[in-house]
Amino acid sequence: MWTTDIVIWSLISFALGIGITLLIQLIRRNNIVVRWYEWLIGVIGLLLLLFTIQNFYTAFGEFSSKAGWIFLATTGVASFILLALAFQLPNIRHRAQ
Amino acid sequence: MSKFHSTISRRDFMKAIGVGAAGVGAATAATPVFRDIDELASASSVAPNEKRPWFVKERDYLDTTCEIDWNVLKRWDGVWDDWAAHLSQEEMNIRAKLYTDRELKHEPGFTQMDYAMSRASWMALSAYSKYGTDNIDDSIYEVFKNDFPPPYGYLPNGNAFVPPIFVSQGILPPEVTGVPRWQGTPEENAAIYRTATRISGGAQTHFLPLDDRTVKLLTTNKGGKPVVFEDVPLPYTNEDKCVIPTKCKYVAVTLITQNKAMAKNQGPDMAANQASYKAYSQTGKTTFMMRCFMRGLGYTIVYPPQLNVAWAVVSGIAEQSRMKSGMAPECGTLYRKCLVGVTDMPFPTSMPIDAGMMKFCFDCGKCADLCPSEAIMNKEEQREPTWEITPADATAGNPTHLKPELFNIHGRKAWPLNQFACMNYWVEHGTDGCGICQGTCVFNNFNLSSVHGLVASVVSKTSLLNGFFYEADKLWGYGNLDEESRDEFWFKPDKYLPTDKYLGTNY
Repeated sequence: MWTTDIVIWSLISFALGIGITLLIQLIRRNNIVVRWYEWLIGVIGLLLLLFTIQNFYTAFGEFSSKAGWIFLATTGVASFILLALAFQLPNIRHRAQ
Repeated sequence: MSKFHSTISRRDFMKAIGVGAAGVGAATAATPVFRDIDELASASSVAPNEKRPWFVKERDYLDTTCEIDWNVLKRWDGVWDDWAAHLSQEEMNIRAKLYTDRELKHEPGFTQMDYAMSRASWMALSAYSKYGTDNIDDSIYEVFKNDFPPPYGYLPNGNAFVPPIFVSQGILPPEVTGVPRWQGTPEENAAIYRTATRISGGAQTHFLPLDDRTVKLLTTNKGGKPVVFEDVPLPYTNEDKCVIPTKCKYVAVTLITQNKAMAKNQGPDMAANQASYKAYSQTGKTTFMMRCFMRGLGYTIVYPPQLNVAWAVVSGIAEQSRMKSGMAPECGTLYRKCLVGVTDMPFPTSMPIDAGMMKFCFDCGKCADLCPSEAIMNKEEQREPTWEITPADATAGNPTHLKPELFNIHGRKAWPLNQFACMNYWVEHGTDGCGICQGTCVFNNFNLSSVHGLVASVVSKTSLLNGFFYEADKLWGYGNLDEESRDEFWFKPDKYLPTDKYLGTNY
């Protein structure tokens, strides 16, 4: 049962569960306002990050190491940009208030 | 609250742990297991079409994505020549010597192990053929029938003398065992046949009736004798003809896959050949087992010469590809051939499919780009399929006098393959095959990465991104194994051919 796939995705799910819970608590505690499009950017960024992780490590299993690195450089960078935007836009607005 | 230290209550911490644990549960639930009885029942398909990926659409009977003109299409006479008939004797002598000379050079991809395994991979097919798998007759039963009728393991005096297993081998049909012949609905027969072919090493199976149109996909001749239909109980071949019983009105089309790592092992060379020949040998084994199985159930089945790609396309196993072979949603063109069994066991009728794969070939052409022999038409010279065959003045491969009717037929709209150019390349470069096209096709991946499923599902819905996906596939470098495999393949079996943890095999 404990294949590489299950271990990796279990760890990711565990981290996501803890991380999202703490994030929501942080937002509420500090009364940060997050607009709907900022949530949307964050969700897309997160999905793109998960897509990148999955395709990166499976590319090596497919004997296509070049494909793995290109995923990091393309969809991986794009996901970090989107996640950074999703974190920074509400943060900037909160500090300005 | 301190700017640098955030305190969390025990309650909040436990809540976070719980949400995390729920995520673990979700990850476990996402693994491909059956969630309920309905899913379990539908997976063991009794339907005419196998359970395919969700994005594959079914079309109407004989309405294939590859257009076929059934008025033009004629039964092919089975006369095939993709090399000798197109060359003078002098050219044949010169080129054949190139093949022989290469074996002495011992280059990467042409090592002793590669030659030995390429030839060994063929041998099983030869062995099965020797015992009549391809014959249109009942000789398999004659050779392998059990000479000890039931009760098994008993002497004539009524005393048992051996465990029955030792004398109950061989084919035992209903007329010998006394067990009534299996009678099921067409759907039940479909499920049984599919189970049997999977046990025997086959993959997906679809079914068609043998009517006035589909019969055109069988050849008119076998071994110089006409293939005809007569009202007889069993198939036979004599000095004049090969006879299939008219009761054999149903056709089962079974896909035989290839090992992906072997197929992507840096063709064209002797190493990449092995995937094809291993799969050909599998066709021999599967055919043999199915002939014995069906005879044991009380049914007749023969595997006559045919256009196996056409059967795959018309039955919905696959779509037509630019490289001439079929393309299945599950494995792309990485299957060796389809077995075409003509039988008297009733089956339902399968429908052709549309997964956008043939349409993708319009804007891809990756196989043609990489074809070293120029046998495959590239998209600049022929973007869309055509009713034409390879022109007689084609120069690829430098024929002496090209006769394309010996390897192309009229009546279907596809991309004609210059089979002479392909075969001649093998000869001149000392290989028993090439396979660059199969190793590099966009649809021929290991399917571990989710991007492949994403591309397949998008191309099934729209062709707008086909050009982008073709360019991206090239940029990402998908295709054959990495270059280091040339030196590693024979010395790292766990890397390239890992055994299955539970089944202990790697097919």
